[in-house]
Amino acid sequence: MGTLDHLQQLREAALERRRDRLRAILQEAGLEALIAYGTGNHYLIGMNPAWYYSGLKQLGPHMAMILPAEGEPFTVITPQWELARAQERIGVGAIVACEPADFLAELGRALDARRIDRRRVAFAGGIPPRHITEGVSQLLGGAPHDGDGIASDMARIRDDWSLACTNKAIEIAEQSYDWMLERARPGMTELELGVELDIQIRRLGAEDNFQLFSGALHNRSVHRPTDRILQKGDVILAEITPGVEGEFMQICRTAVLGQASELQKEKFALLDGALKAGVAIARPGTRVDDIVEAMNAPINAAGYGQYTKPPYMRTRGHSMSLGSMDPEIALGKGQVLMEGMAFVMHPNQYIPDTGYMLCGEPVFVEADGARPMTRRYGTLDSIV
Amino acid sequence: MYSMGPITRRGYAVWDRGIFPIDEFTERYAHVRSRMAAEGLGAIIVFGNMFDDADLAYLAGGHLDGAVIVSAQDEPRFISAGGSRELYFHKTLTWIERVDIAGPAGLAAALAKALQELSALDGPIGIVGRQSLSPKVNAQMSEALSQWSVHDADHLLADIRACARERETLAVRVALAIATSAVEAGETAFAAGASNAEALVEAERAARLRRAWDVRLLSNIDRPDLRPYEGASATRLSPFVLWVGVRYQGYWAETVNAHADPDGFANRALSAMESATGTGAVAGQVAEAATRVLDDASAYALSYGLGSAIGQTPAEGPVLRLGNRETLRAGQLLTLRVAARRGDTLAMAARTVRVQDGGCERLEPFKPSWAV
Repeated sequence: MGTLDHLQQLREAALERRRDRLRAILQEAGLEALIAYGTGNHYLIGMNPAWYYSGLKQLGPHMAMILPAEGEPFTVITPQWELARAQERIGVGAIVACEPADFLAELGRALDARRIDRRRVAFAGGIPPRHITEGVSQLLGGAPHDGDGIASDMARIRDDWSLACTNKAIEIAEQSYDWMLERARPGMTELELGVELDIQIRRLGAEDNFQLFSGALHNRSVHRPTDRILQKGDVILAEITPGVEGEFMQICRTAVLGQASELQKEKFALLDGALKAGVAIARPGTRVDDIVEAMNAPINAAGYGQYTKPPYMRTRGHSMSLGSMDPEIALGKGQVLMEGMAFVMHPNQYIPDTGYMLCGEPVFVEADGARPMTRRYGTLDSIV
Repeated sequence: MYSMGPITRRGYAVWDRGIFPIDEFTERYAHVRSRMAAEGLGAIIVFGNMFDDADLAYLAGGHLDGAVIVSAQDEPRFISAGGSRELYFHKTLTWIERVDIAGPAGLAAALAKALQELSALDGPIGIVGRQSLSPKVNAQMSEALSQWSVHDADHLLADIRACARERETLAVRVALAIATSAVEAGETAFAAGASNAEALVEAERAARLRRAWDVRLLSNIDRPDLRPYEGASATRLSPFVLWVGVRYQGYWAETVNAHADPDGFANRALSAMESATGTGAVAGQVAEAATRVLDDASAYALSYGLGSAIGQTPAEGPVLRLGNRETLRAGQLLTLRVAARRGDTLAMAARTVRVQDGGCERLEPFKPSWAV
């Protein structure tokens, strides 16, 4: 597991390279600057361009790192009392801290002070609130150039800091899941077991964790935990997604409280085969539609074709983190895999004979194919 | 108070009918309808999502993303912006009987269709919570609703929600009880030798086990300032300061561990604020009362904020800051907070009060049997 010092060294070097590369992109596009904005609504399927270029997972509602095509970046953060943490973390360029109500005005002052031509500014906002979208357009005297594409195209190819954080997140996820298997007992509630798992993930060093955790004799899907008292025979579903320095990665696991039945083993093997079929064809240049079709093929052949669509599943995989949302492994997205992408591939779905099951692994796309990033593929585990 | 927003804004996912039975929602619904009638509105659409759901949760209950339609004659309808996979589960979380998903056509198209299906629509449509929509959905909404007269009506729900109903106060007190248990767990862990970061994690465990939806935590991790948890740290800083915000069934409360104010300095400022609070008091003057006690420590305390109204969001108006001319209303719930730093030592304290004529009432935690 990467040490904090090691991650810090990787982070500082990676951020410098990201900003260098961005400068070249801006110069080539004839742009003077990119405003990389982020909200405090950190979500694993929503970009935060400010985090991507600064390395700061902000606490306040608004943050913008302005990255000129020439010269050092400068940052506007909220609230004022975040200044010390931001200075420690970002360590480059000027940083101004203000209250949220003053954010847009402060951003305008920062642009003016650098004499940046507002007509040649791109804006990468992820999912900004309405007043920021409107306010930035007003500030720039019209709709800004698209910066989301610039940020996403860079972030979807993982650099060494991104990979180190992602690998650490996966290691924590696997260790914590094994820890949970040792502790799960009939009589615990979904909430209790889910919380203990979540807290173990924090103890191992993840700063955050997205988790769906539920159990039933016959699951219709996976959801957030309830007061259900787990009993022998319940099938426990765990979507575990630790976050390390802003990078999230997910494993999807299924365990039976008691001995798994032959039918459950057979149906889980079907999903496991689907996952491996998808991994087998994934390589640079593969269309995501082809991966979906490869994953669905064995399920269709088993007669469960209707269950490969909503409401019986959601998607066959996706990137996550606060960086890029590419790729999403879903039909009609028109995306193609590239070397250096990392994402979870998960044929999670409902099977009428056994209920919903989770079966998913994070993969990294290398030159000769996709490599699972976990120690081992998930299995249908029995908690006895 | 600002704090690091976790990925899981909604942990525990059960509608607590003991705190919020159906009749509570039907009363709220009737109240909203009467305000709509007074303003000549034929219907309102209330939007919300995981990050901004105060108005939506007030009318529909929790854990929902989408929009509720309130009209003069028809039963309420909820249109979910979530996926169809989750629909059956979402139906267990709301009192509204008619729950549909937006589907592939999108939320805007689904709402337009639902409006056409109303038995009557006499008057313009008020929109609440439009700020929660992405620019793309906002544009789609403008187009889909273009055949009707539409205007923003955020004020309508904001005004209704400003003064807490009895059951809203009860939910805040449950949230306060969970937060109190959390800081106690943190203090116990710290006393047993845990670092500030480790103690914070134990506090989160306590809060989540006690059914918090959302938990926010800050502590003096590695520095004499409030910091979020950013991974393991073995550093112990005394006095241990732990601020915890908890949301239960949609309602927030915050508290601070008792040992965070060893010489009572922050609490003296809180008491001054409490004495200045009452119906008709000016928010800025409540803040001034604190600064008179804090003196040189005022600037630091003001940067963290001295508190605000609290309810479905962790910080609502009026905010207790210098110069704010807003007046306090009877029934408003306030969180009062002081973070004071003298030298390298951080001290902190917080209280929750309900504004009333002639003063304020300090709210005590309410601990249901399951929260013990």
